[in-house]
Amino acid sequence: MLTRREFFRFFLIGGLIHLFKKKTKAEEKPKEAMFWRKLD
Amino acid sequence: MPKIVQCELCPNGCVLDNGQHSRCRARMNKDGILYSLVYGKPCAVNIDPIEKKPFSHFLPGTTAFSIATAGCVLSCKFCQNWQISQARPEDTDTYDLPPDEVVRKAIFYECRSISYTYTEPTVFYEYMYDTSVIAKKYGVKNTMHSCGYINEKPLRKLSKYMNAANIDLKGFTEDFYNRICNGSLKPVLNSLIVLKHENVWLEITNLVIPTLNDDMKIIKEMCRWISKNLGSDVPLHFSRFIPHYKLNNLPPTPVETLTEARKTAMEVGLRFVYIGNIRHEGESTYCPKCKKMLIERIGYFIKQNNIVNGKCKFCSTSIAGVWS
Repeated sequence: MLTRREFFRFFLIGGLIHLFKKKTKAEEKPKEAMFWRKLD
Repeated sequence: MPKIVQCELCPNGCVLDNGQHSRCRARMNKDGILYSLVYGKPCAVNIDPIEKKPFSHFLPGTTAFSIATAGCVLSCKFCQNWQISQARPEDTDTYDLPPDEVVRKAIFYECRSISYTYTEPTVFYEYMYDTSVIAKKYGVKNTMHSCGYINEKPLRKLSKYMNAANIDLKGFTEDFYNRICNGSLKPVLNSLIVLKHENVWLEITNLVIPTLNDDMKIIKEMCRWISKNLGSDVPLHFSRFIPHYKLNNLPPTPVETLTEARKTAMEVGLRFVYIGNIRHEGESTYCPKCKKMLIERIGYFIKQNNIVNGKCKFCSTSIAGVWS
């Protein structure tokens, strides 16, 4: 059986990993297209 | 300061002001730079038999790791995948699958090839190109099913890594392309010639739609053009239309029409003419010389294969294709 302390520890670690993944994804640069030109 | 850009990937040539999306919905001008909105984000990922693409002369009996993202350069009224081809990328559920991961999965699932398919692969050109480069490095072949509505320069660049292409030749009149697909025929014909010159294994699909492109005179003209410009060994697939999307008012293509189209194509001199989307003897491959059955197909499944080292087992005639 998980104790309450263990449960909250896992909950907290899980949350932190999730936030870290979200931050990494948000920082991903969009891919620049290959065939285009500026018109101005 | 204006930040207008022009996309040079397909004949649509979208001119986009800052913040605008391309017609294919997969590109966006952000502060004067054109970005792909679908790179590494496929909305469809499947393992398919290569026969489903359809390819009849390219590694028969193998599987293709198949991917697609949202978007299309055309807007055909009969689209079979309109839920994703006519959708915006943000409106589809996507996977996070960067190019190296696509190749890794293809190898893991023992797929001989990766197929860029379902929607129009031109819209995810950068994703397809990067994946193709890695796949080639690891000995996985690349195939695409495309409408061929792409400019010559990007197509030639991609052709260095593309092993096979099935191009939809949706009709053979500018009127059909204008009215039904919102595009034009000429760039598609040019793409077919470019692919042939670049030595990409080529197959053609023609969806026969009752009343719209089932005129046998025009079908004959199309077959003559194929024979003259691409050679008589290019497999041609006549596919059965099933009422869909904006053409729900039309009936499915009668079997007789498909059979007649096949007969017409063979009379013109095309050696390998197939019928798809319906159970028919035209699903199988026959030797153009001894006329014996070489590959017996039932739907996407192969019952027997009598091609040995690229030759007919019965009369040793070479059969055009990629067999191993």
